[in-house]
Amino acid sequence: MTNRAMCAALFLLCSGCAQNYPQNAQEFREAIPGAFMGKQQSFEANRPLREIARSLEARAPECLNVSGRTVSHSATSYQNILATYKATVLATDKKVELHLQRNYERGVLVPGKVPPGGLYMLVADATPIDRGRTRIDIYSPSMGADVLIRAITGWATGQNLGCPDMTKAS
Amino acid sequence: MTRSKILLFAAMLAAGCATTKTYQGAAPENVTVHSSISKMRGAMHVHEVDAACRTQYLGSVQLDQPSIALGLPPERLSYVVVSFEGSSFLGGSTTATSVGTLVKPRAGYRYQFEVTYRDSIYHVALRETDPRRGSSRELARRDLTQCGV
Repeated sequence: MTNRAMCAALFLLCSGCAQNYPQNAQEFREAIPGAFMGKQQSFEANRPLREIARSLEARAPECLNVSGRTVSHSATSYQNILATYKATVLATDKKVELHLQRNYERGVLVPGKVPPGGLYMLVADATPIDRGRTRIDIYSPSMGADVLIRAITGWATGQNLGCPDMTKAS
Repeated sequence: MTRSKILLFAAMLAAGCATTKTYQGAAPENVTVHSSISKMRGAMHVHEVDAACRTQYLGSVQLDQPSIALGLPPERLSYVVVSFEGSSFLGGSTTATSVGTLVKPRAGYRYQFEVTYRDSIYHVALRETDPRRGSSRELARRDLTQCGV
């Protein structure tokens, strides 16, 4: 097969399974409730919004702006995946948002338009309930985000400021 | 196993061994690393950093004991990377995650790393202590992009 034919075959393959990925956090929020393997969950933290903003602003860049490598091998295959993560925290007096994106640097072909910074993999919103309590809404996949959700819960409640091992988030 | 497979395996093994070496350390031993790592292998990798912020790998220390001591050269910039590496149940995949910080030890001061990894959540903290005054403070992590800033 010539290079041209191979390119055409690859293009057809990609266009056949192309996905419309959320291009921003709002699109991600709207997509998760109806998505296969999407999950929205909420909890209350007994801390004011301002304190949670401080925790997220301190921990998210340090813990989530990282790269993670996963190497899988079997008798017939070998896969070396390098993913880079980007966290964005937007804080106002009324709301704090955490956006997490993942960009595959190596090992994964993404069929579709990837937004700048990578595919959205989690969005968390913090909004005040009253002066001392805050509601946290998390939009994420239903599988593979457990470690991320535990970390964000720890930051929001102030009970665990550790970082999630991003290689455990799939 | 065929001869070619044996040679390939030996080459891979040698390549893997060649990438890490034991960090010899500097005098005095001004750093203590306390670690508590569950179900992963922890290691600390030391790099020296020159005036142009270029790094050169000096060696690694396995964090396989609750406490180890090592020396980082005082008044010189080092880049210290803590890594956690693990394998899946059947060994079909390996994962590695790491966190690095710049540190420039002050002469006469002591430094303490606290490294924990449990249930896929890790924490790496660095504290500087002045033994003469008994005062200490936590140092914020500084990644390589902050070199020269």
